[in-house]
Amino acid sequence: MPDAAPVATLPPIPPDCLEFVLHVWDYLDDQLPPARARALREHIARCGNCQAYQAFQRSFLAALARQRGRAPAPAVLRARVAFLLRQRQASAQ
Amino acid sequence: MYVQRHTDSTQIGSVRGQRRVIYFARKQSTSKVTTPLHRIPDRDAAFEREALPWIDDVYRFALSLTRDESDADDVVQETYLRAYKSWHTFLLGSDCRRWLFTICRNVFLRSRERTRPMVELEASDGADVVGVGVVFAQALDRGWEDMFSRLDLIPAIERALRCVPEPFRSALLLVDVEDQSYEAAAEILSVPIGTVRSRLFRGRRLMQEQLIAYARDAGLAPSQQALARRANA
Repeated sequence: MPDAAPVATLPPIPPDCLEFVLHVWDYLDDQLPPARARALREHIARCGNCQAYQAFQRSFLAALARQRGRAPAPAVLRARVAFLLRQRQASAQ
Repeated sequence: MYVQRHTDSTQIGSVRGQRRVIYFARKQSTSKVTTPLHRIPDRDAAFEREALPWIDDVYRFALSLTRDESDADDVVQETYLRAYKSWHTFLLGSDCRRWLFTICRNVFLRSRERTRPMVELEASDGADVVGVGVVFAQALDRGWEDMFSRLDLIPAIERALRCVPEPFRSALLLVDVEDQSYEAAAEILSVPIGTVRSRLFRGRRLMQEQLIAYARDAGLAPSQQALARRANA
């Protein structure tokens, strides 16, 4: 059962990758100053580990974004809101 | 007698809000119209046109806040009634969805104040940094590059979202699911952008923990790329 391996046995993060690992979401969300973003982009271009990690994080964010459009408001709720609004409108006139 | 009605909405939107831009752009193509005075759409018609189409988004946000369908119904209902009452304060052409999210969150907070004291957690960055490092090491070691596209995550994400505590869940939902910018989320949540960033960091990390546990339980095997990498190592 490989997933039960203790964290201590996992390989350490290479120092060059640490900056990207810590700021991957800021990088993907375009929240970093241009110079830092450029430096990370250059690192990723030559680092297979960080390319893989970027792909992992991108697919995570894409999975979350796919939630949009799910769980529409129930028809009963729509009808109730519309009914209550009509009531308010009628009483305001 | 005729009047011209303008609803110039092209300024709205953000880099993250592509769908919203498209929505308003489509509306703008028919926005400059001449209308007989006796048929000028009044505030009710404007409300129905601008606010009601966002009911699915508001419901989803309310559901993520309340984690209960019945409570979400109540929050949405109250949100729309308050929005209708305050419609005169809404600036036509500004971002109605953001405005509704703000009201929705306020309604939720008020309802929670009534039921139990609000205890908000904040991010503890030290522990999170360690957690991020662990995820990085595991992702590489176990070949998870495409993990999120190899699994049917819909039920897992819905479940995991409910497990992420406030205030991290709101930040995650607004930015990652509802495609709001950091600035918009900060406005809706009434916090500085830096707070949105740290809540988002924590929320995403907690979310990943849940999804990784789900993938592990589902017996996700290493990807082909990871196996090739190991073979070459």
